[in-house]
Amino acid sequence: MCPPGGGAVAPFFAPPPAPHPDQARIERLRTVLAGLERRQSFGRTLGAANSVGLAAQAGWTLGAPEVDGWLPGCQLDAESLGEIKPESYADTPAALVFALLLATRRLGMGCADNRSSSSIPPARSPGLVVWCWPQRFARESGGLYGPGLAHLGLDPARLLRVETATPAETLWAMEESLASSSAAIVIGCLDSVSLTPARRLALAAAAHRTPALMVTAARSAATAATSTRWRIATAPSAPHPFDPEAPGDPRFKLTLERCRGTAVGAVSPSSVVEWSSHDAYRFRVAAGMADRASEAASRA
Amino acid sequence: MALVAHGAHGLGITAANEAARALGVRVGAGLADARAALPDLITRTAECAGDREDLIHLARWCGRYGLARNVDGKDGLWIDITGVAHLFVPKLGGSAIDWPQAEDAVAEVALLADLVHRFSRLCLNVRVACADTLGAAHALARFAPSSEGASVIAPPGGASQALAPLPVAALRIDASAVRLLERLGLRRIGQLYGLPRAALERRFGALNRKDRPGAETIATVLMRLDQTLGYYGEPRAPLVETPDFTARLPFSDPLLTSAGIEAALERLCSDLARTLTEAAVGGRRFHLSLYRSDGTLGEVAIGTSTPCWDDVHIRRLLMEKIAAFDAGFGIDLMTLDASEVTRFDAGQPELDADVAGVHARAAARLVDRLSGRLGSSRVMRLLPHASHIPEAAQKRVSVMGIAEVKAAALSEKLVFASEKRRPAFLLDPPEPIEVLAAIPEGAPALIVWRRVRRRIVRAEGPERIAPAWWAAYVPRARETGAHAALTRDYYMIEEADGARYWVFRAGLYDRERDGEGAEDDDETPARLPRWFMHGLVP
Repeated sequence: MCPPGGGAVAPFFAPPPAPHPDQARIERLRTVLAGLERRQSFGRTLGAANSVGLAAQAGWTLGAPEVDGWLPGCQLDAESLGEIKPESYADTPAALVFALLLATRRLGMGCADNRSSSSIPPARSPGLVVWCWPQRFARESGGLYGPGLAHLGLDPARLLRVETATPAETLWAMEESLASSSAAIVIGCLDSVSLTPARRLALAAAAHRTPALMVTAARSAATAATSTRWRIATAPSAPHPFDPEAPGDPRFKLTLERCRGTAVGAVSPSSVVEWSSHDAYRFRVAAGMADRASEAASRA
Repeated sequence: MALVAHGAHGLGITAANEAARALGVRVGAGLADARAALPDLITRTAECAGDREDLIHLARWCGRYGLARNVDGKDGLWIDITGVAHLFVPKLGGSAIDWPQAEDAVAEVALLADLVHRFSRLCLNVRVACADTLGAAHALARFAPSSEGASVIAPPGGASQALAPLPVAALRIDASAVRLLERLGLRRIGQLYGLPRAALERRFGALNRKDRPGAETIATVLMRLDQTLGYYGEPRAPLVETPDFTARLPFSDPLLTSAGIEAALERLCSDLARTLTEAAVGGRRFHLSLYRSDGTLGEVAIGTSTPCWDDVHIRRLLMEKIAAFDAGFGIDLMTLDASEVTRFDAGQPELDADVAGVHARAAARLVDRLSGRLGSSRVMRLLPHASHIPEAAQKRVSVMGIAEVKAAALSEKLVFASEKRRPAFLLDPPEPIEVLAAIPEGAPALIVWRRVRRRIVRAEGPERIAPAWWAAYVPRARETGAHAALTRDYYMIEEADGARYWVFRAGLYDRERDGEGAEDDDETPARLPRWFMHGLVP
């Protein structure tokens, strides 16, 4: 089973350009600028004292440089509201899993390279992963399963599972979790969300410097309050390296439909990425897909 | 007028008003007899269950007089007022300090007067008595010769004297015992005091040999007598557990507005927090009681996941619950109790360098708020469990009980195994699916799940998971159904578009079969193993 467009041979990466002597400094200044811009857009200055611990943590990435390149500052915004939408109803589990994987990246960020293969990554970012979802979701897709999460790299002990009855309760629970400053990331599952509550969540995320993610239904209208919006679909996996009959690492087709601070929107970059759980707990652009991804990145 | 209810001998009278009693209607008599004597007796059906419920409500409300209180029999209440009576003495110029010893009776008179006054405002006529023991108070309240509404107080140590003229029925003994004592000529409690006990027990022990229950009866009578006079301890079962710490705040004018309640709550919380801090303990259960002046009680309970002594946090949790509280005709007393207290080591959280500690505290606050509003069963954590059966490998634990379970899990050094591929979402219970496989014991080639056909292109497996050996001997030990006691072969399969599932076949071909088919071996051919969808794999 070849992925679409996957007939090409494995790509040769272009040698990276020679780094600018002040590369690190430029990066730092870019981060500062991005922060300033965001604060201005919310119309107020946020003191660093109002949240504990997490503020200094930065560098939440997907781990695939090609995809991170789509984002401003080459990293996910850790103080805003993101939306994850499945491409169709059947892709909903993939969207949920993608949210869990982003949480994994959030917890274990910055330590992707030096890790033994069998253990859960040591957590850098303190705090909980708060997972708020209505009971209906749990019935449809099943309950969160610890051993499976552990296999993905997410420490189940850090997970707080909140079951709600109504969308209003989900929104309330998300906002409370953001306000407590004890969450590393807050994830909520909603069918649809209108502008006002989404804006509230975005403001709470910015005020408490905690990222929030919403997994919404495929067909519901997207809100303008989010800073990023991902569209997720499943993609056929490559054969397992040791067993050609068996599926390999999970693959997702990512589309970045919206991203504040970039030109994304007119052209949505898209790529197929693979989650490598056994070595690095990070995304990488699927082999055979890298050429298209870099193409898309250069277009964007 | 009388209330009637079905008894052993047809309709009987359970209660009668004063006019009816004056005309000779006796409680306990049959309705037919009463009607014969008094043809125009008005009757209504007695609602015993409702009465009982109201009595319990009333007992709860009586918590304002003493924390240990409960319903006494069918028509009474008892309240333990040890050490609280002096609170009801009107304070005169700040000299309340030397009340208790010297003029204790004054305090009790004040308490009983307050009680009678409040009950009369509820249009309830009560007879109250106060004595050293539960039994003495019971007897005095019911049998002391006094007018209704007046209170009887037996001074400390004076119970035996006060009880002496009362009939023996006051001893909380049944009718047959009363009859037995009357046959012996013992009609007053005072007559029992000087009886030679050993002789009495010996005599009735002899009666017992002729199958007459005299010995037991007389033993009961003597035990009741000892309990009433305080020679013998009597266990009490209070309506609610007595809290470890409590703060109370009475109001001279009933509170009506929510702003007033909030202000009062703030003061209560800080009072209780101060008490807790002084004792160096933190509570995990807090119970707020709002006594309305119309004899009803509003109660709010909260729990915290870690021992708490922080008034701001307690207040915030309580505020959420009393947001829609109906003050009715006004609240004249509020109490806040703390229970399940444990010692804590006071730190200086603000000076603490460890971020993790700060986070742990913030996380505890968060789960308190979430479970306070949503219910503690809805805020869960996942804990590993030592089992190779997939659905038993994790436990979902309410955060409220997490401390204990976590300690248990840590002592076993359990962690979630992460090396095997497992679904991120587990369906519970597994959903039956239809499967087409290329070879009987092979991987599925096509499945139908939730009425959708899915073509399978890749499969990993089988991974065989055998049931626990004892599962075959425990019929339906787990409610997961017939597949619980069968060997399972798990496959991780991938659909053409990349969706992945974790499915299993329950049972082996020709060797195991479903539990239901086990009896009729000969008639039906071996049933095919069934397939189930167990999870969604990333």
